[in-house]
Amino acid sequence: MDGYDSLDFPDQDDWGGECGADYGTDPQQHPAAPTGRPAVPYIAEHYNYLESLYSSDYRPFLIERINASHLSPGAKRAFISTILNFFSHTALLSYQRDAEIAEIDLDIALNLLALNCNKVDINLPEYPHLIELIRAHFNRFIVSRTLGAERERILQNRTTYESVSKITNDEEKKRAKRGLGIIDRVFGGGNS
Amino acid sequence: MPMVLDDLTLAAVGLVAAGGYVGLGLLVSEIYKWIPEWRILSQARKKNLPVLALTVPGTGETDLILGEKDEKGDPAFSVKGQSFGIQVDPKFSGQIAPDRLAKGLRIYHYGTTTPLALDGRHCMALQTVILTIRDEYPKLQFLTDDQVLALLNTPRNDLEKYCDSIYKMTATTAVEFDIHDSRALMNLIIDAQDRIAEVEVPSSGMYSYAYAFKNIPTAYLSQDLHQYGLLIERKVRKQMEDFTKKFGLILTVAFAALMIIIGGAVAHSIVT
Repeated sequence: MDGYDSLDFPDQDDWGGECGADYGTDPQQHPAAPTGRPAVPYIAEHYNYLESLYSSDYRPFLIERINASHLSPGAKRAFISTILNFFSHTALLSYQRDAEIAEIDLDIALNLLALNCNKVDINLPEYPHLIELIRAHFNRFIVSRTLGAERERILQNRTTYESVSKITNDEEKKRAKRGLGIIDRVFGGGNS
Repeated sequence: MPMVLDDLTLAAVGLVAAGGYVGLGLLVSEIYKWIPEWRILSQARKKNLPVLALTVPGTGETDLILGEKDEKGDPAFSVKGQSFGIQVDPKFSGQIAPDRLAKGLRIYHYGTTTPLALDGRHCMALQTVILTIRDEYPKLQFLTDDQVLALLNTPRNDLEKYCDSIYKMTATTAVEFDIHDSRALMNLIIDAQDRIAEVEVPSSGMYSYAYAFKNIPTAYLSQDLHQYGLLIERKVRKQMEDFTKKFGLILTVAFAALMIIIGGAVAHSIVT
């Protein structure tokens, strides 16, 4: 492995590896980054924390449920591919202009997922339940993080940026308080 | 020359006319009551269209609908006036030998839940597979027809996992006595797959469309295909709306700017 091999679609269906146990239910455990990065865990806790901000803690649970179900291997693969697609880091950090289009895209993917299922799969009670779990979580909680000016990617960048800005303001305030601040007022500087 | 009709003649003519009307009424009601498909059959013959026979899987109850298309060249028949989803034209989906009635009337057979047509050969093939398994593999009696067909349709490299899953789901103590574990089930299925590959489908015999549609292993329904079409349509419509909204605003602003420029030019020419 050269460190850049994608683990999302292993040659063998070892869903218990990348997509099952390795994802773990603990968001702090990231033994293998699934987005094409070098497949080594982050060492510094800070990076693990940052990664957890744009990870779905629900994804490992869903994949675990699928692996534990009685669906056929083909149906399991289709479910897991769909989940990896719509619950990926990229999806969480994406920008959706319209939630409805994203929801329609998911509906199309779930519709085509049935092509990989057989009659036994469709008649299992787990099937509609899993479909609804995916749909509800994506439509309500994933898409809402990708909309508007307050979307995930902007918010995460703003965290660092804002803290720097605040320190500068505090220093300006202190400096202004030292004198009467007349010069600043005249020249349109600090208005405190 | 004036014609003179006496009362008796008038009464006789009236009676004959009334009898004719009553007879006509009876005939029409008889046709509507007992041949509800007459219009479909007559239109199909007139316009050289196929008739789609939609069979309820299992029960065999069949509805006839006219195989019309919204536009020439569509790969699927029109869904207007029916609620059975999309039926794909066999000309696009593959070779189908339709039933042929007098004067060239073609009948394609669909299940009420299947988007693709079947013909007699498919029905015979499905029936042969199930009967062969039931005759030659009595140990698989604990599995339903759907489960047997799903296992037979599973690639070999997936078979171990799927047999394990099905075994855990279905095996009772009595079954465990015959088939000790999921590995034994897998070996039986592999054997059955090999056997099925050798069995010839009889060229004639009794078959049932209802039985075939009940046992066909596909899970993608004609209703799913219809929903897929609606989703694509909804997405395109939504994108077009956004496009119109965006460019509508730009056009309005551009038009307003143009009017201001023209107005300004006119005012300037008047002043100067």
